[in-house]
Amino acid sequence: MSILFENVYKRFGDKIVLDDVSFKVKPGEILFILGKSGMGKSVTLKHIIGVLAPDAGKITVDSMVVSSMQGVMRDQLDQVRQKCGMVFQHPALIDSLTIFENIAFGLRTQQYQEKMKSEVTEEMISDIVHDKLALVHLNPEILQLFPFEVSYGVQKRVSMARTLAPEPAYLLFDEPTTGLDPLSISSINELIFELSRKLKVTSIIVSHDMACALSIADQILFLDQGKILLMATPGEVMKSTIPLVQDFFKETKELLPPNWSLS
Amino acid sequence: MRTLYLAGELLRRMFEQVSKGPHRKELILASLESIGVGSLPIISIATAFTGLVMTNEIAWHMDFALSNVSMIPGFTGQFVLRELGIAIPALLIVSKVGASMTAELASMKITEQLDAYKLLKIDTVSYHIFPRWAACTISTVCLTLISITITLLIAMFTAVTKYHFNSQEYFNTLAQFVTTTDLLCAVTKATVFGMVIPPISCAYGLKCEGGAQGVGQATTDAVVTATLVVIALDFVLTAFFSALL
Repeated sequence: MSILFENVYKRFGDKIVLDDVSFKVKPGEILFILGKSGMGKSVTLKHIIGVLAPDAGKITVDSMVVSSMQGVMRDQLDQVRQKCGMVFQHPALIDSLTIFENIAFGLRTQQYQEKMKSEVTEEMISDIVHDKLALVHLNPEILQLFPFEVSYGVQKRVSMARTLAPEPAYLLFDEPTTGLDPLSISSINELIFELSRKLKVTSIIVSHDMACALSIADQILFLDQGKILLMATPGEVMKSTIPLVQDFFKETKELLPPNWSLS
Repeated sequence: MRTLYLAGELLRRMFEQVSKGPHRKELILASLESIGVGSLPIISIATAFTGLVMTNEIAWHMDFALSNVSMIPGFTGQFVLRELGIAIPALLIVSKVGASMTAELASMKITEQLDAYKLLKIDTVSYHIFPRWAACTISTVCLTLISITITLLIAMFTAVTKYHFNSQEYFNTLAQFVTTTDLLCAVTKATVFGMVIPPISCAYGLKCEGGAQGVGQATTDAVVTATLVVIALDFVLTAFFSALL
């Protein structure tokens, strides 16, 4: 149960987005990918679920080579996607469906029924939806509302509940706190930590939030100009002399509480 | 050109889904309501004014050139059934329905909804585009027939009230000029226009890049391209039917 990138290259037009990227995420690990905007962080996540294909290199999810599946091995790609749950930068909810139906969507698929090895009844679906909604600290009263009737922060939480509903083996978060107020940011960060630890799923989080990364990550990966600058534990990151890493850490120091230390 | 190629590919997928399914009848019905019923007021109003303006214009020219307005029913009938009654609804559908399809898909793309669809194993083409394509094709045919009827009724009303025709006389003259082939021409053109507008609009939506500016650009490009394609196809189909007649 691991995700492996081996010498991955990706280019959009003249711009090299991923340049010889190689790393491994072990089972149950929380990996934070940090870096400035436009350095290939979100692109890295989209390669894992096969939304993007690399120009060269190999991406493996649980021994399945995702990088060679695009367009030719749809069933296998579906299997990989079944294992992954992704929280996108935007909530990406389906506007025409209620919040209940949005969360339940992944539970009505053929693949989920096959995974459960039995018929998934409406009662079971309702239980799972309520369970996941509670997990993201939301009230069941919103279930019959449409996405546009709730705030952006609530939409983000609903998006997490939808991602968690089919119980994926991997959780991928693409800047989950972008566009949120400080209180929601802190609450979402706690939620990610709680979910990753409680459900013991392997998580990859793309973020700019160094403070959160230092608090909850097992590994932190810095991307710059498409290249891996550093991949290390939070303790090693704090000792790093790489200028970009130091810049990130300087900005973060001011945000950390005075008595903060690595847990 | 890549976008037009994608539009062609989407059209191929539409025909494939018609033959193999799934047909998604509930989604088609919902789209019929928003596309067909939703476009009815604007098309009715626009074509009613067209009937009014066209009758007056034809009458003025006939009176000026021939000092005789007795051919108004025949001229208006042919003009409506072969051109105006079809082209005006099609162009309005491009600007109302096509633009909305592009903007919707483009917004979905830039807010990563389409990526979320992939992860949920929802085929955007089958789930999102096909029902709208089917509804747009059916609606365009129905709206064209309604548009022709309204234009002709308004034209007759203008001829009766302003140019002293009686309604029976109007119908008799109209019947001499208008044939079932004209109606077949109208239905064929409407079907083709209804089929090509959604793939073009959706292709621009799917190819959208950037933020709000990208959505605006994609929508403008889609409307311009679909308008040009409708006009070009109108020319081709008119030439085809003229050769047939």
